[in-house]
Amino acid sequence: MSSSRGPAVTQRLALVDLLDRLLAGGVVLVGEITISVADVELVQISLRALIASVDAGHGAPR
Amino acid sequence: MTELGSYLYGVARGLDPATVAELSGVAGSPVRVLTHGALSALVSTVNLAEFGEPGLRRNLADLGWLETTARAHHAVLAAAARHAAVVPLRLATIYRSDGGVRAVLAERGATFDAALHRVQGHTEWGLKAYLEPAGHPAPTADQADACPPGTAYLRRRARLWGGEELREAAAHGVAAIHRAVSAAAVASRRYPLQDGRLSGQSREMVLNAAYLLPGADRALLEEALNKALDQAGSWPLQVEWTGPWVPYSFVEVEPDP
Repeated sequence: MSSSRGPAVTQRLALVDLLDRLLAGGVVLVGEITISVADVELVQISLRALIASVDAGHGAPR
Repeated sequence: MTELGSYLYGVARGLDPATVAELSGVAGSPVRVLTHGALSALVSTVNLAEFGEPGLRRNLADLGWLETTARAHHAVLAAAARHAAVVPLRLATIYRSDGGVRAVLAERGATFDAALHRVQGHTEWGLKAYLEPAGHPAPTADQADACPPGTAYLRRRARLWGGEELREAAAHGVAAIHRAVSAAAVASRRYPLQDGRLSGQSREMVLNAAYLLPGADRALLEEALNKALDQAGSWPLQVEWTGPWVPYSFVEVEPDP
């Protein structure tokens, strides 16, 4: 494991790390009058869309 | 007629509205602060043609829109978190009016208070581990024998039998590392492994975790990680930290009664 010492903190925020948190973390308020799409659905819709757009050759998200 | 809604980013305690007065939120609209007692809701006005349910469904399928919106959402929370304790909301939480947001602050005040209490003065850090790409030089017999006995045995097996044993051995190493770093944190959470098509990574991910730490100094976590890496021996892992993050991963609240 010696080659893994001193891991660097990624300077540019990777979209994929951000989406992990924004689509599966954060407070979900249930039962109030929000317009937000149901949470499980939100994750599925977005990840499917992301994979589809990457596959379509738009390149990996930054 | 244009229908408008109120996009809710998060709820803060002790936030001076002046500190976010210059911020732009999603769709470029100015960020506002709605207060209820000591609680401050960070909101901005959005067009429901874009952020209403049909619009949202359409837009979430658009990678460019999703990225712009996610980065704007995060920028607002990260800016507020520099000045006050903040509990982030899930991406795309939208009310029909500021009145709806105020009602939530009034009805769920105790819930937000408890969540704020948990995360106040804490930071979240991400840890990702990958299998080293194939072709990484295998340790010599001497190096392998210098590892703890079980490690050397597994490494020899791995070299003899190929990738599967190596992967299995790495999984044990990863579990040990996660346990050790979790023990140094006040809370931890494992996320699903990222799809290489999304991350652009050719390396195989074996750990995607988040840890909540008092203060903002990661040294405590790094120390635990390094100790665990020492004990795990020469696993072919590469690790990366991300953060500090707003505590997205540690604000789960009880559902409504």
